[in-house]
Amino acid sequence: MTLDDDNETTMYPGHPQDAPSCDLRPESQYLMPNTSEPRTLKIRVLVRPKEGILDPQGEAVRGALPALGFGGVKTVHIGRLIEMEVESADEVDAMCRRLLSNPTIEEYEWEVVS
Amino acid sequence: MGGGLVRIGVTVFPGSNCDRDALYGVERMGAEPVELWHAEADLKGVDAVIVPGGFSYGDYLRPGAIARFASVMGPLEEFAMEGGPVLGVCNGFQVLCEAHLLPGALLQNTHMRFVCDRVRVRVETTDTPWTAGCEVGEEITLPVAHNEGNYFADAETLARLEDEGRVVLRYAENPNGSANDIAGVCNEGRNVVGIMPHPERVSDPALGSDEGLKILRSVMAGAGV
Repeated sequence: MTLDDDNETTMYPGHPQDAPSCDLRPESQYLMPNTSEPRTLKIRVLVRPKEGILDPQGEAVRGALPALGFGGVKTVHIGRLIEMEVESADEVDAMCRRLLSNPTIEEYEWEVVS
Repeated sequence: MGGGLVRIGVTVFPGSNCDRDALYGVERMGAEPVELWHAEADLKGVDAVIVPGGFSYGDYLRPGAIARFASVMGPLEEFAMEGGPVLGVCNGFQVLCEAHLLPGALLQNTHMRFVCDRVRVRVETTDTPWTAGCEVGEEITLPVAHNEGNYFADAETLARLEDEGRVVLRYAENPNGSANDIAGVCNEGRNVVGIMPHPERVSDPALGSDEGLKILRSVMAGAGV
């Protein structure tokens, strides 16, 4: 993968601007979402340090909170929230394993938000 | 060496910043430096590869996480699997860990500060192409400059690394909180080495020292045969 390729724009067949001007779908589908458009799912991935892995960021913040007068903070762990829009959730888990998290030091969970 | 000049490749990712030092270091070794551009899946027939330091792809996501999928990494992984000598320095070490060519990972320094210093490291094994010219127990002084140099591996992996003599360099005084004071490790085949200190930054007395050449020149003995 090279980041240089990222600017390519893909035109999907069935993109609105390519659609015929009259709608030939049966009447029952008028109120349905246009199924010829790729569906978009919003995914939220949470990546955080595995249990027992030293989390110096969390430790530093835990130390800083009492300095601001916030008492009773026992632990702070800092992770990363990744939001994506995808056409299918099929490969989200593979994305998490291969790139979004490093399984040696991090764990992840993900959900479809909408 | 078959008489030919040893050719040593240096990978260049967007954000690499020690690539020129590494290329210069290779020249100082008496070898031929070859730039390996990240977008080309071609090692140009080099005898060894250095993955230099810097902030490849801005260190986005995790250091090394994106560089690991660059085009040049495909042939580099094959080269490493076939026993070719590979040295990852600093960000290069992080890239090799992300690529699973080396075990473990490099976490943020425990003290949360970027460390930029010269440190003494002890050579723990000479049974790698990158330390073959050193002596076991020898101490050398090398620069370090990193925010994520805190080597981590699970207890089982650490025990294996120690048992198999795969800790290559160890800090005399730990600058980042790394497990077992580890400054560098090698893979099972011992041909892939990752170290946090920068030998390429001390390859010329004009840079304050040329002690880094001990590491870099080691590879000359074995490479290119």
